Amino acid sequence: MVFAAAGSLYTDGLSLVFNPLTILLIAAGTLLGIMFGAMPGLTANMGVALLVPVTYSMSVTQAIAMLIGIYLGALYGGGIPSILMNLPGTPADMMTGIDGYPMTKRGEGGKALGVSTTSSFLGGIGGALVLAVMAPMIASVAGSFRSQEYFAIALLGLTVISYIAGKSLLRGLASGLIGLFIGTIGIDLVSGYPRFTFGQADLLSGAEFVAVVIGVFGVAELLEQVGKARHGKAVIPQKLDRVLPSWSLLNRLKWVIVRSSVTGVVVGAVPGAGATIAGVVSYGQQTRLSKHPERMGTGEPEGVAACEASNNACAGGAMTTMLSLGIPGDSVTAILIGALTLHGVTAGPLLFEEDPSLVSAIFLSLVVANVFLLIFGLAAAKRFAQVVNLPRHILIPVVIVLAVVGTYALRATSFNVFMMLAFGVLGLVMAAFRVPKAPLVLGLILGPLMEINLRRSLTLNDGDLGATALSFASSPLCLVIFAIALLLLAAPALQRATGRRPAVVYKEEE
Amino acid sequence: MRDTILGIAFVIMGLLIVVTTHDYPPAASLAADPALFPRAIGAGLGALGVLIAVTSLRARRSEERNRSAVPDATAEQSEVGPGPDAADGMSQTIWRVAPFVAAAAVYVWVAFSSGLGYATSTFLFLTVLMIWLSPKRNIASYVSSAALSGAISAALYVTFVFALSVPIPPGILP
Repeated sequence: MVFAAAGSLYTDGLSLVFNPLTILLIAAGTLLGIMFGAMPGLTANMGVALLVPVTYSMSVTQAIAMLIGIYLGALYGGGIPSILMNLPGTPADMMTGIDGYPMTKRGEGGKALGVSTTSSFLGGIGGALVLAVMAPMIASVAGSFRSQEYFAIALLGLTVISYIAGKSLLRGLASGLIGLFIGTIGIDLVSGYPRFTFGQADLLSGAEFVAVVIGVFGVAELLEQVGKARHGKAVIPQKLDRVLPSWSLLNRLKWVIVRSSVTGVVVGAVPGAGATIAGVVSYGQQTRLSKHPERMGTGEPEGVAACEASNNACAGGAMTTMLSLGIPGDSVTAILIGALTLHGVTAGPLLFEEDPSLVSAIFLSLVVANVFLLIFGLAAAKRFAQVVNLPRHILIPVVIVLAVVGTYALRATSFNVFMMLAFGVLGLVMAAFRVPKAPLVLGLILGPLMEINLRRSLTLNDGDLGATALSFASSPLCLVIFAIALLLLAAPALQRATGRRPAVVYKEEE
Repeated sequence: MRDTILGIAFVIMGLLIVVTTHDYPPAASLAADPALFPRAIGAGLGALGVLIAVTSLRARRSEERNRSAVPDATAEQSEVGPGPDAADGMSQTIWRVAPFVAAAAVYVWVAFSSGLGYATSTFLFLTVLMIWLSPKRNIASYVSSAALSGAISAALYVTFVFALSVPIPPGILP
């Protein structure tokens, strides 16, 4: 039934999307989204949510087209401060900075932005193509996920730690456990008991993820800069003569982009796993498959391309699940479903039959938004990169003020801002003790997903551990995911033992 | 040495987590127990801490043994990571970072919780910080810092209050 409608999926929406007003709205949305994403603390969710009221008076196609523009723009825009200042604009761009920021430190910020823009564009287009071609298939697999499979997926995500742990797997694992612990803060969803809140009402809903990420990465980086000797001149001047990546570089990156786009789409299609996890998994996959894993983390364009291609491709996957099942693939698509409902449209399998032209328009809008993203990104990359050339005594205060107001704006509470500062100090201490930070964030994202699904499986089996284990073992999907996880976990150790590859694949910034 | 401290810190953190869960209400089943996951994390953290501390102590002992066995070898080169002046560098870092963090915390409190309001306190914070971090010490640089700070705080205020309708305290501003 869904396939029958797919034939018209490419043409039905043409007249809806290709009119001057809709195109203009997509362009405006993309530009706004880039600005939102580039502001630390302002996320894609927030941008889309804030703009939903603006779309009330529009037609449903125009509304969804503009919101898609914001969504994609923000996914891309977040990479800009991540590359230039190691300050992820949105959590999804956390891994972009691992290689992007060292490139900026070498004066190659412009090149990194070019790679980021091109990869985002290609990844986004890839995601849109998948949405059109494979929507029904991917959605049906993701739709059959139960709590056992979710737990397995979360565990698979955690095995990425073994690739991003750096010199010491032990320190990486400890960092991951701290993240898991932070994830348990707040009301326990099963028993309703408040855990580790110490009487703070602000902690009942959990430690705010964005505050933790901005603190551990962004603020910690600022503190390190403040701590370094002499308040001298700015960092290395940026070479900006060529932003567009050369053909040879693109040729080198083509498989990275293809692979990461596929990963991004698949992760995006899994309900609940969004662009952040897509970026982390793709980066981990890239360090694993890179010809020079020892160089990852030192400013390799591969790292930037992997993360950026994947988090933009993720949008296509998330929308696949949203449109064909009516289930949000990530938090932004949850808001998009809400926006559709406001316009009297219910997302789900029926939509393909009842309103194929809208489905088609959504797919086309995604493509158009990606084209605008490429245009704006390449046109403005030089301007963006000049930000880094600002003297440090101006840049540091401005960035801290931006981080403060962005974190405050999330919930309008200063508690989160203090928490962000505290996590900044934690990040600085972690860097001093050479504890990698990325596993912490990974644990924080995946911890709650893992815990709730493990306990749900336990509940289904009346709390019997043996029966729960059996329910995992009897799911073929679980077994496959566990096998992949085990393989991923064992691979670095095996390679170390056989001496094929060096152990260090990821170096936290010095 | 640094790794030994780190290992001990992890053990203490793990213990603290487990201890905090002790007064959690008893649960009817394993699945409903709010302490199950945190205790597992605490235990894991403690175990990792012990491993890290032991590995580091062992590495040091074998290094000392090597050094005494081969007295004139490349002993100085074998040190991996920051050398003896690392501790010195760290205390200097703390001296620079601590006032910065304190200033930021005071700023956050003043901006959102005192009556002064967001825009005014952001202006003051930016001006003070720019002058403090700037290498120049003259009237012209003070004035330009203040002007820049004024423009930035006004722009932020307008963006967040009017364009994004985030409830930011206006304070003494109308």
